[in-house]
Amino acid sequence: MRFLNEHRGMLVTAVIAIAVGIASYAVVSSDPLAQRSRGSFTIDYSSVYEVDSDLIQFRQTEEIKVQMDEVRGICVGPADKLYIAGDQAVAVYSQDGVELATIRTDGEPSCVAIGNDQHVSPGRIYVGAGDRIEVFEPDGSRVGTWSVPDDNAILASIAVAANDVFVADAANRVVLRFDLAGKLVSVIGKPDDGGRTFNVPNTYFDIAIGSEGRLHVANPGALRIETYTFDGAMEVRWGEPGAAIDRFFGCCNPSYFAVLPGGEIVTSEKGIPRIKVYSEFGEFRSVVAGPSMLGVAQSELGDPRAVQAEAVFDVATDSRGRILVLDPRRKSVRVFERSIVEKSGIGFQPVNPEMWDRLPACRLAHDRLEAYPTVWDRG
Amino acid sequence: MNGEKQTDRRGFLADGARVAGVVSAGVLGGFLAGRRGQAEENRWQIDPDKCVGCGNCATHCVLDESAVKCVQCFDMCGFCNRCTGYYTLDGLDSRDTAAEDLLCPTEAIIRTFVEGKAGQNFYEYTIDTDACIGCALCVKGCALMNGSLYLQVMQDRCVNCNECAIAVACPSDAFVNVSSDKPYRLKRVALGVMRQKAGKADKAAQKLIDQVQADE
Ligand code: SF4
Ligand code: SF4
Ligand code: SF4
Repeated sequence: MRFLNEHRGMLVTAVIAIAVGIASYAVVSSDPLAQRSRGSFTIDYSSVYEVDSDLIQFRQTEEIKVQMDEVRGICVGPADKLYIAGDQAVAVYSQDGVELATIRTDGEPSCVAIGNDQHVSPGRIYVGAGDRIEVFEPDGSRVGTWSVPDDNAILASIAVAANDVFVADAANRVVLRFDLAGKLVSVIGKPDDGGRTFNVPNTYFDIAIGSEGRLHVANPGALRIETYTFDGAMEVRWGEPGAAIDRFFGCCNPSYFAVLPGGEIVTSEKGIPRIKVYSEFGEFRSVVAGPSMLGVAQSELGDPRAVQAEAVFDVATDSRGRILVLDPRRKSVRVFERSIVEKSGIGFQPVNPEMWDRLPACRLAHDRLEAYPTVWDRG
Repeated sequence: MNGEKQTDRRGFLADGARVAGVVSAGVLGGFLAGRRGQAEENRWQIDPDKCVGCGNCATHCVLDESAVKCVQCFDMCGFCNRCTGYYTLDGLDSRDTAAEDLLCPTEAIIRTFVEGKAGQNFYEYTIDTDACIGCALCVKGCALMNGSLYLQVMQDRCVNCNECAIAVACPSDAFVNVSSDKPYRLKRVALGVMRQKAGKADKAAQKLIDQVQADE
């Protein structure tokens, strides 16, 4: 997390602007202090802090302590092993929390992804560290190190498909597609393709493989999740900005997301930390955890100190549909499982592959993006 | 007061040139020129990484109008359409710039349209220092997202009390004594970014580091 924070401002230029002084000590039209007692400048976040308990369909069943000073990313590999990126290593845990191995990396890892059973080398480990991708076999032996084209890259996320590796570069706001030998195949979101595609106001820029050979990309500044073919054609985008629980809060969210078995998407927001489940096409389904369940007090919301800014929770899922939440403050993995499947009737809902054929074909022509509905109409 | 103003298209994010350096350098330079010969004198300043935004800066300064003001660090700002330091929760959703939808009690934050890209609009948020009372509401709002807004003691206003009245009232020991030739601080995150840029021969970043108090 410190890595991300320290590079966050790489996304923007300019320097501290101490606001331009105008000559006089003038005059605010009314005295703003007149109605306020000392220290009464507060913001009431109670309306977004509380989450309707009927919407919460998960409960924490386990917590796995991670033996690291700083944790930055989580993913799940074959046999539901957990891989935690942090410090200068990737720690491997069994699904019940037994530490299995620690793989030392050259750089400080910011993200990690694992080849699944369809990958050419199941269990192969891809670590984003600095501006390079370090690749390891499941036993921890090093396969190689890949470079990315821009050495100012901030590698925010990696997604591994059967024959492709996608890497999200938050600094340049592009998704890079590599082949399995580490050769750059294509770039999604290049400015030369008619303008930028992704609005990435900080270092959170998550990607994941969805069902049916699709790549999901969080476009945080647009407060959306977008779905692309591996060739970079946008097919679906959804997400509404707003404070309401079914929307994405603030200027830039979701910060992280993961895909459940069957295709549902688990999103994690910062600012008002909350983890939620949507269908693959953006229908709000349920809440996994709100701020209080994540251990964030209402009084902590908006605390400018860095330790509070670190309360951003990466998420992963395993084959059993458990949701694994990486807690950077507690340095632990918190395991959430569905608590009320029977009551809600919501379980895994596999995507009908034919759905994809019926989607409107969104083009990447940016001047036309707004012409498409923000949430895809399933009619 | 806060109508959305449109500027020329500006370099945005990693694409463009630095735009605010001139402003920053001008303010700092003006202060330094005025204090030539007193370089040994210490000044009060806020360590932005310790401030919790309690509001005491607005109410405890010995001056009628606090010497503490908000500053914007563009290196950390996302130029967001929905700025959590600018809008209240209702305003975030409506993006109405009516006073009741703005966090700032004095409408001291100026929202300026920068450009539209990829179907999205980008805005710059600057502070009208004369209107700002240092209440930190925007600092707390912004901290929900990028944390680019923070408080600093404006040295052209501060009378450098022997014992700073706000420092006494500060609940988080955020007030520090700094050298008068480098009386402003960057957030640690921004300083890290600047150092990285300076390491890549970015002269403007180096110049800024040279101007600010850069101890950790
Ligand atoms: S510190 Fe308070 S008065 Fe100053 S710009 Fe921020 S909200 Fe407005
Ligand atoms: S030293 Fe005095 S004038 Fe300066 S900020 Fe503190 S109380 Fe205000
Ligand atoms: S008194 Fe301290 S904590 Fe409160 S706003 Fe001022 S610097 Fe921040």
